[in-house]
Amino acid sequence: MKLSQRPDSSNHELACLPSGRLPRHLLRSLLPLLVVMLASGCGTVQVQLQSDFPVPLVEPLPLSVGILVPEELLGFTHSEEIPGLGDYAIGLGQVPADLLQRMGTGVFRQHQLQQAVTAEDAVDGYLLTSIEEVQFALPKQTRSDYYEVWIRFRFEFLDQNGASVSQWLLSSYGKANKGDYRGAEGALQAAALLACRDVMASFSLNLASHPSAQQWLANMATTQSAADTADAAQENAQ
Amino acid sequence: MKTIASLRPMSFNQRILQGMGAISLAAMLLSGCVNSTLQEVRERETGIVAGQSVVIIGKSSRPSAAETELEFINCVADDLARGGEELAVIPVEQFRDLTFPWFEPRTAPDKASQLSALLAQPKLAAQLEAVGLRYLVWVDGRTNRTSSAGSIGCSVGPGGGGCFGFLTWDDDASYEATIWDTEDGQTAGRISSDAAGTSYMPAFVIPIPIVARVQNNACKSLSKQLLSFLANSDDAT
Repeated sequence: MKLSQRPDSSNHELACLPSGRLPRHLLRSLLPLLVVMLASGCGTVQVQLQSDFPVPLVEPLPLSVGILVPEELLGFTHSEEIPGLGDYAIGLGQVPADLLQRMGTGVFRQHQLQQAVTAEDAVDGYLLTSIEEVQFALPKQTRSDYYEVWIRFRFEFLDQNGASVSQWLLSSYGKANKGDYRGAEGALQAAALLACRDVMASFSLNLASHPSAQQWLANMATTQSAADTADAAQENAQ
Repeated sequence: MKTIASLRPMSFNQRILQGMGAISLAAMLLSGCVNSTLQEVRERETGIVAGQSVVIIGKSSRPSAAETELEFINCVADDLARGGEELAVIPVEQFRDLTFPWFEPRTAPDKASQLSALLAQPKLAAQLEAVGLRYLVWVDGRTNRTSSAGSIGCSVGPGGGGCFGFLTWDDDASYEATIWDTEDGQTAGRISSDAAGTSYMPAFVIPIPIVARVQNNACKSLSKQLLSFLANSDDAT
């Protein structure tokens, strides 16, 4: 449905006014509306994610893992100016921590969220997560009905001492139909949360079989086996 | 004060406003005509007993492909929940959370033949049993605007404003529901619901929308047929 307004008709009405200008009271009443219209046209769309992710329903790996959550990951904000379409800022807030917490609960037998590697940690290995890149697309850019968000995560696998073993770059994707949400903010938020769920799903289901993770998992299994053997020897000695 | 005010004769403007209100109310009650078609293909017997549940899921695909409107999925789920006394319908978001990560866009099965392997996952199988899931209904399709014509012009002046003109548009809804039986991991059948209709909006001072509720019609038809299909009765056909 397209409503077209005839530009000449309103001009004609205005020309019929005795002074040729809008009356003051009308201008005063229209001023707030004009301000709102102008402000909405060139404002920043702020998207702040809030989440309640489910725990993945998978068999947990028999490992104890320290999940490193650096400060820069928690305060991560992607800002972008799109010419003609305004400024956009997507803030992830606490979402990465919630995501890793839930993912760790499902994927590993034991896990703990921490900011850095410490000597006192009783873990088999560490997982360091960072966000490499965030991209999004608006319906006006893609000429579709969808707001789309891509997030590229970097999962770095560290051994028991915090040394890097391997890494896994994992891209995730989420989209939200503009018709299902009232504005860009809600739709972008939904698309970004779907991208977060997407990375959780991929990581949970593919970790054990992914080549980048296999060496790390094998190392941890060896370390765990050695530790178990040492514990057993100690118990026997006692 | 109220009594005195109500006894005063209405001014010209008040009468105009009252007239416009009446026209608007009439317009809301008007709706365009919709032609709908239903088709059902049954591949095996169905039936549902108390304690069993159903979930309606929209097909989600990879970037930029069109997917079924959330509004339509919720409409079918709500209608189904209202229609069957013994039928428990799990809201799709709740289902996706309960079965996470097995029914996400990237991980959900494409074919019924993949269902058996999925049900072999012990944790997932236990969860599905806990919620009593019997049928998975995948809904694919959407409503498209096929054509539109006409125009309406609106003008505002110090003495008032109004719109004049005529708009018309055609909508076409086409949906297909595929029913998977989790008991045997097979497709139980398919129901397709198509609807088309033309909407009008004449404007003489105020626009009067006469909207053909195409998507709603497709939803009602599909959910009614789905209810009949799952109960294994032929009442709705």
